[in-house]
Amino acid sequence: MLVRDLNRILAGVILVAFFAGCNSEHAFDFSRLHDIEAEGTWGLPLMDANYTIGDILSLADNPELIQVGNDGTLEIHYEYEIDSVISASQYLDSYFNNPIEVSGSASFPSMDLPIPSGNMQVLYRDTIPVAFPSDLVVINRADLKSGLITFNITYNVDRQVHVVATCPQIVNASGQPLRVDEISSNGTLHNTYDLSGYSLVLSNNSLEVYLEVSCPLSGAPLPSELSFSYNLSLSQILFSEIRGSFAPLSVSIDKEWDFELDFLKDHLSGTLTLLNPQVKCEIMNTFPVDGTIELEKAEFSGVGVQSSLLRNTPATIYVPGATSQFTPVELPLATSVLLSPYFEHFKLKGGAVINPGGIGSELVFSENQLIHLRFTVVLPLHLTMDNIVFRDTIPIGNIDIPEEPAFSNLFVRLGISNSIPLNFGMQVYFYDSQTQTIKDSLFLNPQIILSGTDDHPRESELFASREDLRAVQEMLSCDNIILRALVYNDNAPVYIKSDQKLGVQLSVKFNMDVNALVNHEP
Amino acid sequence: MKRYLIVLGALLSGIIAAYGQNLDVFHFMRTSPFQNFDTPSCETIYNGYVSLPGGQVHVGGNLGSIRYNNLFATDNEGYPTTLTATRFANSLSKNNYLGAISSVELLGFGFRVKKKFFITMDYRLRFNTDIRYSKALFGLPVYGNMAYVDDPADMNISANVSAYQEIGVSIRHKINDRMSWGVRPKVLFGMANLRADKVSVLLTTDPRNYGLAMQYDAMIKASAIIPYSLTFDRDNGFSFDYDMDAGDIIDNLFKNPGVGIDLGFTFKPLPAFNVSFSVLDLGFINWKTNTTQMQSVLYDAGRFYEDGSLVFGGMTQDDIQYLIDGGKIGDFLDTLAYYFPLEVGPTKSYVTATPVRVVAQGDYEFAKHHTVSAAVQFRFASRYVQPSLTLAYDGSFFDIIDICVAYTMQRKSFDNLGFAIGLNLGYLNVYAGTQNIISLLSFKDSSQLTATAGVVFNWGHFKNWREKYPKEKKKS
Repeated sequence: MLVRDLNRILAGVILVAFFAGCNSEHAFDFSRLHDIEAEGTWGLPLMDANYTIGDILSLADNPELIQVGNDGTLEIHYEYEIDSVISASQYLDSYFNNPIEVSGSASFPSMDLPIPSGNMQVLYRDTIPVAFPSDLVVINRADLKSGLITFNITYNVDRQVHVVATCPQIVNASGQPLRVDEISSNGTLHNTYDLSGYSLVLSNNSLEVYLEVSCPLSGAPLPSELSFSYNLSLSQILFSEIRGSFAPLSVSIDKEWDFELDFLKDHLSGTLTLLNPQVKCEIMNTFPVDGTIELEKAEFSGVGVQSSLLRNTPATIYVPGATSQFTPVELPLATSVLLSPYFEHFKLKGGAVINPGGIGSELVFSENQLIHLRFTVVLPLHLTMDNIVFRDTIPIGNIDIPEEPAFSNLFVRLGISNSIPLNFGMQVYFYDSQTQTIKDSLFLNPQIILSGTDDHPRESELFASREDLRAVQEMLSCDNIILRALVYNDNAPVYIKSDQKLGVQLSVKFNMDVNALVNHEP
Repeated sequence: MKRYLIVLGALLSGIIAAYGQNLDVFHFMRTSPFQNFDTPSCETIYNGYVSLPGGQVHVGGNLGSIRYNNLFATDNEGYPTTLTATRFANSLSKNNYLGAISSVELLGFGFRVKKKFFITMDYRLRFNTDIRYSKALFGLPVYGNMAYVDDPADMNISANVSAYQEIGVSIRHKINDRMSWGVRPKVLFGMANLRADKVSVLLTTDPRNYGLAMQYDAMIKASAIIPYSLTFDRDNGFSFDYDMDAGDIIDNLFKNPGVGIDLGFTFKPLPAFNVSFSVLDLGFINWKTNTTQMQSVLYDAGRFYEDGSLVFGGMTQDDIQYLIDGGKIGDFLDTLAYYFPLEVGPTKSYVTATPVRVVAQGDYEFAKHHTVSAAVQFRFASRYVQPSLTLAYDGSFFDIIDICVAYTMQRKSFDNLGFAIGLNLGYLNVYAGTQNIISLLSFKDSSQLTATAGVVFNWGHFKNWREKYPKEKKKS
């Protein structure tokens, strides 16, 4: 009985199996196989970078302004230099800008002429005094860089005349006096002589020129009344050196340089207070006499903002004389300065005086003497700040992502390891420059990155998420990302050092729909 | 009552002994001389047999979790429309097995000697494919790496694919009415092999920042009697060439030697009940001809290498600057290739083990010509143990028809209902069957497909068999 039942059961199974197997004729026809059902969650690290402060600032337009101090503290270095606060040449060239002229004339009967000796008859002799009037200088000896002496003589003798002018106080390099020896036959003599290379040896700022006019004994009869006139002028007188006594030389200082720290201008709003400004003021004074500089201003300035480097003004700087190298001089410095992104200039204003004692003992001023002033401003980033806003705009172009994205539930993690002793309240905006609108922000609220130290970097985690990738599409349709961070440290003094860094780990997690990925048609 | 207790005992003996992969349905068919292949100590009911060349052919595949319905969703008309990768991945175990077996008997015969001995000789071509792969191999691309933050994604695969000749001689000795043993020493000659000891990628994802760390190791060896060359260079990729020169192939036919052995022991505590234990295919092959090795180990090629791992935590500032300056992501990917050097070339001879099976079985003849059996098998292959439990019924009807039904359960496969039929036509026995008839009913839910067929000439039923089952005389 059992066997019989078994036979029936087995026969039934075989029949069912046979017919059921025929129901799958399309099972291996893959012509309609288009979809893949798989949606996984992927996490990818995108970025693991460490940016030191030095790295970041090296991206500035003028990184050479940023240097690293001995203790690693970053320093902003500016060097302002006035090659020639006072130049001797500017005085030497200005003492006698106007021509010095001396004129004279004489008439007398020819019968009064002296008895000739030899074959020449002296017609006229005169000593012409030439004065160099000045309250600024009493010249004992002056070397001429340039100068002209012009003789203009007229006479009424109808013979060939011989004119000799001798200037014992105008000597050339070998000590020979200037002597002019000319022959004239038409009643006038006009000649100019170059005095370059000559020296004037003055006495009480004056010299004398000896003039003698003579003619041969024979010739046309002399008029009964002889008349002579002369005009002597010294012009274009420039000195290369003056030995004498000088009144004080003073000039005003009013110099302005562009403030070039573009990084501040471009990215920061708010004012930093730098606690330990250092100014190295060096002076080289090649005058043989001391001087002084009075600074009324040494300041950074911009529209509506300024910050002085000086504790009090005017600040008087003693300038020792006869120094052939830069000599540091003390400045009364302010204990702190502000550093504002609105600064545009650095200004120096005041005056300088050489030989403040005035006319006295003999000095030698030569044209290459000057006072050279050099300001090296070092601003270590030892600072306090509060509510500084850092802002950077990063163009991203338009990133095209599929209209039906295969990705969803985007989760962004930003891990920050901060060894900078500053807190940051960070937000990322997506900005469309066409419509000038901010379309979205990465985080719901600004995310706090806590301050750390070199030894104890502080870890912070920032999260952002979007369930629907259309929001991401909207973000990425913008052409700019604006990175904005409120930087603060509650006014506690901090040192900003080159090797302080932000470690940035950017990673994303998302769901990937393989079907959408495969079937998306670009 | 006693009958049921014995059935239960047979089942338990199998369960206790082991779990195993499928035993061929013919294994339970008492009238088949091929039962001897899986239990060398079992009693053969004939005095002798001869199988023709190709007289027994067995092909089978075990796809594990790879089932049609796990892979595809179909529309109303039965066309596959969707590759259901998640469903497939969900169906996988941590380690999975994929196997294919086929054997063709070229020559086989057996004969009885002095009642106590039965001696057989067989010459078969065998083909074994055993592939073990981890779930993460498919799980990672489907689930994504965030599914593997607690445990690393261990993507590994090992495989042993072999084709070889087997020449075996078996001796079955009946010690007494209760005990018998059998042994089949075998000589093996390898024809082709591909052995992937390990192709392993271990991907670790940092749960916090999703940083990736990967360990990688690969070693593949191959051998064949057909002369071939396989080369690789980074610029041109793989180059494969072979020479089907019959002379070379024949020369190499017996140059990859190996040995193997099957062992069996049968104990019959009761006249209608016996238990048997077998160890099968214990052996190895030494592959010598045209051996090639492909090896790849993670190499310290730069900054991504760290303590034996390829580590990527994100682009550094230098990388970013490189991209800002116009560099391409592809340049990075190109450099990654240097971390995965691939060395391909000839290698020394190597040894592979044949997949070993351990079988424990209990049989109970609950009625004349009707037997139920329970068998457990362990199959050891590619560092993977595949256990299975088989319950079978075998019955003879009218001294002509043999019917065998076997149900097998194994890991991730519980729907294996085998069916075989045999016809005893005098001196000629014809067999055909499948291990999984449900695959015919609904192959979409099946992971196993097997088919076996055999033709055997036999003569003379053994005296004990005749005594036990005297010919029934037709009623007049």
